[in-house]
Amino acid sequence: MCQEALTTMHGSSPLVAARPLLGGMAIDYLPRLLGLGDRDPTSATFGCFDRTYWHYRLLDVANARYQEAGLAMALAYQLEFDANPYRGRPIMIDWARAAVECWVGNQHRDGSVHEVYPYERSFCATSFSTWATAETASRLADEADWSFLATPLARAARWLQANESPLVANQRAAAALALITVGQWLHDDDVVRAGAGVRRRLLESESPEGFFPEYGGGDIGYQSLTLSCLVQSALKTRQEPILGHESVARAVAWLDQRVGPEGQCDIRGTSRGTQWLYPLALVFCGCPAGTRLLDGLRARRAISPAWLDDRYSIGLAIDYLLTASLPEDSPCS
Amino acid sequence: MLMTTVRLIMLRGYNVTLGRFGWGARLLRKLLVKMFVTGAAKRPYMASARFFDFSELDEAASGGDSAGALQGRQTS
Repeated sequence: MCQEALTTMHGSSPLVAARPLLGGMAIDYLPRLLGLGDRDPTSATFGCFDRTYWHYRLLDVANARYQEAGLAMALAYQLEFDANPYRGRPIMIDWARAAVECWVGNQHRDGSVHEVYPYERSFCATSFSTWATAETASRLADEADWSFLATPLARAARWLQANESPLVANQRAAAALALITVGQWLHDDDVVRAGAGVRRRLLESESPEGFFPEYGGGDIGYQSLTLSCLVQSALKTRQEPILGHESVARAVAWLDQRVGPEGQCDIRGTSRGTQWLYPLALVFCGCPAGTRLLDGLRARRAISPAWLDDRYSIGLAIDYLLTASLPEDSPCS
Repeated sequence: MLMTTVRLIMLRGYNVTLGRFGWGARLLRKLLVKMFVTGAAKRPYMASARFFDFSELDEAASGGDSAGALQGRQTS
């Protein structure tokens, strides 16, 4: 059924049902996310969302991944949803911009950023936070001046082109998405092509069983994240055929077999043991696992952003917001 | 005062040497409280504070504290 949905790109989709559910859960989570950030414009760490660094002062470096909060604020600012108190609030733009500025301030000269320790040059953090930064600027292009981002994003794109993480599919998928997003924002076709190349190599790395390798094995949560990045990158490059690509269909089918009736993951034998699911690709593709996840969320038995720690909740909430922001005329609706 | 790598090394150095003793730990705590809480000139450190409040959403419109953040936003 997944393969059919992917190939035909139509049929009964849970997207319509997902929008208010996922949007509502993400909106409910947002006060927690905003509480992570330094919202005082007179503060030297204004825009930093690593509360352990700027507020508790327990760490010597701020984790760049927390700056992805800027994208969550941009999405919340735009999300058309009745019970969304953040929609159209100008302060959300200011905080999103502050998050982006803080990311720029933490970037190394070579374009990379750190996640855990000084001079780490984290591929994971650079991939995901670069994508989130470029996506924030793209979505709020008319709301603020983002010209200061041209050099930092070009630098990050150069670093991502020079480095790759073949062992970790989700980071590779994020790198592809980051390069495509940055390339489109900079109007640089070479960067977009580099992103498409990373994506092609990722698709080629799929195992015969249907998983994208995460340190040598398949993993449910990271597979859903990889697929989310793949769907988003395909939407950006208008390469819908990639969604009907045999390896993507196989990957969705692999995932579908491991998701229970209320969205719980059977983590036995998986390489990373993740229990959460990124919904975007599953919902977008009309996969039965997506419907089961929504059932579980409705019953409050499936893992939502509120269940996760600060570090992991931001990314999952962003995926909820992105899913809730998918247009009505998405191929699956 | 934010944590830096050098400060973290110095703090941990103290923690595992003099800080191992009860008097050393008490001395450090006294010093930290004086530096960041009771003796802080600007804003005392309160770990459980500065979470989000819905009134902040309206601050920009009313010219509140966050108005200074508006410099980067274009008028539309």
